Amino acid sequence: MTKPKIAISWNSSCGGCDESIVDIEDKILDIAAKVEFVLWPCAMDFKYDHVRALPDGDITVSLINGGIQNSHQEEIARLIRKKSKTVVAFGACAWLGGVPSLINLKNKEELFKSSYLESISVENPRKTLPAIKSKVDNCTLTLPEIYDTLYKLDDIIGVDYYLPGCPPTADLITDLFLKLIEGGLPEKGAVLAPARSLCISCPRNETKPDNFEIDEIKRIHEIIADPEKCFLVQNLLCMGPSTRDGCGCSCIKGNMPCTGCFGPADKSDQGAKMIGTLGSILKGSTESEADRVIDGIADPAGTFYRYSTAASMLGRKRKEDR
Amino acid sequence: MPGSKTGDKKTVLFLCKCSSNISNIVDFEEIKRWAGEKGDTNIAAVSNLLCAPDGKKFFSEVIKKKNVNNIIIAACSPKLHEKTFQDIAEKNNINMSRVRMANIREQCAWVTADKNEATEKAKSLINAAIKRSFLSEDLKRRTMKAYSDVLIIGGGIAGIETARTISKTGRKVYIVEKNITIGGSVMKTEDLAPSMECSPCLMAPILSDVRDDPNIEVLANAEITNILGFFGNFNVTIKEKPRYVEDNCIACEECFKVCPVSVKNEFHYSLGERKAIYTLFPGAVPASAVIDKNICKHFTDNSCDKCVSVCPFGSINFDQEEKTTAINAGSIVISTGFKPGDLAGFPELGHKSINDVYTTYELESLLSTNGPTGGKLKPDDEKIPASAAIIHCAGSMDSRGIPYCSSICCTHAVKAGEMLGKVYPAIRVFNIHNDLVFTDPEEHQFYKKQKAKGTTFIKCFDLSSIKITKTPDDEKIKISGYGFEPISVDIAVLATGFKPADDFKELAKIMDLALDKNGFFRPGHRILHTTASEQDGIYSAGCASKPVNAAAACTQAQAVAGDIMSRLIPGREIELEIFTSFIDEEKCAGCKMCIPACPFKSIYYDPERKISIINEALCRGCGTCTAACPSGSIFARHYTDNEINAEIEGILHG
Repeated sequence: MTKPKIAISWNSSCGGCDESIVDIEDKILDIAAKVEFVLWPCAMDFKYDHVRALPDGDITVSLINGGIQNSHQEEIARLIRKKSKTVVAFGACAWLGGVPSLINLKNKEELFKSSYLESISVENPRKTLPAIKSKVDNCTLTLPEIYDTLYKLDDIIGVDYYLPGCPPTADLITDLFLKLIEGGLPEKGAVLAPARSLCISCPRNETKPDNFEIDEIKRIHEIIADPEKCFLVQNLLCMGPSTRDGCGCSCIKGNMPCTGCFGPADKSDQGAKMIGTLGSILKGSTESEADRVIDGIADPAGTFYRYSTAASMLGRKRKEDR
Repeated sequence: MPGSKTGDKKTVLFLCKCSSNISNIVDFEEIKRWAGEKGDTNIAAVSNLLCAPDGKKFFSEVIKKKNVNNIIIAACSPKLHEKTFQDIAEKNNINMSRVRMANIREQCAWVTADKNEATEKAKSLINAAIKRSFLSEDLKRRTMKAYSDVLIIGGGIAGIETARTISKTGRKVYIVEKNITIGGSVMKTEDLAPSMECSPCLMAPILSDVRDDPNIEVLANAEITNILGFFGNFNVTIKEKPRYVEDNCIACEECFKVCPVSVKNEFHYSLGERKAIYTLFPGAVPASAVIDKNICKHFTDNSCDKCVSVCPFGSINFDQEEKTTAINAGSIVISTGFKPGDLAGFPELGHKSINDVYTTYELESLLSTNGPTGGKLKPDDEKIPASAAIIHCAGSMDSRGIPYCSSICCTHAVKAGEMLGKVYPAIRVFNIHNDLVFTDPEEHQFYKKQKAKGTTFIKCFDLSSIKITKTPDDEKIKISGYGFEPISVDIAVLATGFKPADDFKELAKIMDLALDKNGFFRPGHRILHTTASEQDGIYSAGCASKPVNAAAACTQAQAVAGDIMSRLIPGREIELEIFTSFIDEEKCAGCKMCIPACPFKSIYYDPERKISIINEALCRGCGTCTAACPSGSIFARHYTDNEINAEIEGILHG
């Protein structure tokens, strides 16, 4: 029997997802013995032409991390889709756009300005900006086109499964590989983590009263958080209520509130759901009182949509259809 | 997940011309053509006036003959006729949720003269209704038998009168009283103005009536801790504090004689004293005494049990525990009374700093034969006061105290003079006032009579200028103020106003009711329904919604009783909300965020299953929890996200 072929690819991501695959430690060796890797730019030396040479649908499963923000990423994603039986959007960025998709609240010009002109670590006296074509010493250099929008993977290609997390946990990755090899994956379209929100596994949920109000919102560095009490009760924003379970509460066990990397518990808009739920516990019977409490949220987009801007109903400043 | 797309429906689109109200502007031929082309409705039936008898007949015939099971009516606002057509559909075995209206009159024909615009908008709205209708689920009508029992909070004259009136019909009435016995403020005075009837004589038979009425249950020394539900179906939780004396006590008072501890008696405005074991007055209901745990030596240092040895009935029980009772009632009456205005912010009036300065409440307590001094100002003092000044509006109409006019304290002030005259016939009385407020001819007559008897009414145009002073050398109290020559008198009486009782805020919170700017319960309507509250089934009587005198309190009580009896018929079913919310138990993570969101307290957390549960008998279908649920686990029937999204989709993408 031939070994299942696996491709791993990255787009607009930090490399943490690739790292997390290696982080499953010695299990990776067992898995490597049972599968054949055909592409893994981050860890192994394959050329895209190798992939182009494969018959369509030859790759058993491709794990793609990162959202799509330039023409090269789109080209490779489409190539992999064509060559794969199954595609898994691997990690928060591929599923929902992830942290990089916060750029959708700006546009390409603002991105270039901030990254190549204004960033304090950049020295660019000639104010050179990335260009698709540029002439240097009679040579024409080309770069992929950067898009005005960062797309989540399934905006560009069909996706069969979604593995949440920033990055996905070692347990979920191992489980995914086991099911790929031995079978047992759910119906296509599924998110490969429990479809409930994190509070169900949170050890602090029992400390949360049935009825409570918070009259201000603090940031984690402003107080010494009680290591056992629900963060919300301590005036700290915890995204747990609107975030999918399955991470093992690792941040919470480290006394840090959930930031929401496992995405929404269902197909809903994670940030909007969290904003909706805060309405039931924020104190403020008048508009000015409520404003005072809300003003405590220093970075609303980065708090509520840290991992899901590309998937949110906020959309962006100006969205191109692709 | 409710509401998956059902493609096998036979859908009919009714188009109503509303005579020509709609068809003048909206192009019906175009709508019919468009609907036929779209193809997701099977029939488009046009009626001249669908709500007219002919139209209804036509509606009924079409749905019967064509065997349809999904109905869209493009006509007027659903507020007008959705129910009309839902009822006809139900008679033809089509679930009411399958009838949906697209408002092409108020929202199309009546908002523009542009035929094109109106027709295009009508298409959008019809399309939205069609798209949404495919996701509708059948809904069940639910009813429950209404509770006809009534719960009354506060056992003053208003609460008692409500209870007595209602109990005559055989309904069970519960009176929850926070004090240790019912009776309330009228028990603290000898006479009720303006008729000057003897208050205890009036109340004694009433109290014994209540005691002997098998339909009235008094829960004294008790407070409301929670109220759930709605008209016909309230669920009330009551906490009864322990009395430490069993019900077989007849208040023989033997124990009072041996109890070694005394404390100021708050029932008499701390003027007299009571023992650690006490009753408020003879003939109280419930009769049994109460032990004050905070001062009783059995509880403080376990050094005394004298009451146990003298009690002829063995009624003392130090082990009694707090009791929590749940009561189902169809209606609730708030008759929690008032609190006298206090004078803490008015040091210039000398209350509590100068001897012989009393409030009207203190004065009537002292002058009543039931009171702490047996009806005299000072039982040991043989000196008879020769003169008294009564200051109106003391602590009222002033931002430091009560900012409003209580409207009944002028009569109260005149009564103070009358009561003083009864005990000290030779006394000279001065009333110092600015406004004089009398609310009926008898009260005014009462004032005139006082004047005729020799009471001097002194007008002071600024009562905040009043100063009451007495130096150690002075024999008399000096009263000065703008507009009159200072007077010297033996006693001064301050006519303070009526404030909302302390527990109003807590009760308003429990019942989700609003208080007005003065802190009283806001009535349902200021003219048409002053005894209703903003919540159906909750009424107020007595001083709960504004200061009233005893006569008005009784009238209100009887009005409330009549209102309740006419609406809460034993055995009658009440219809429960159809569009309730429900929780997907497989998805709910028990984060509890929906619990504070529910204005009807119909959601609770089940710690065993670690999920939240909606009590659908209490749910009113407001949908707030659906919006508050952070994980998308709560669905509002008939208003699911999918349905709303389909509707929006239908508008955006014709």
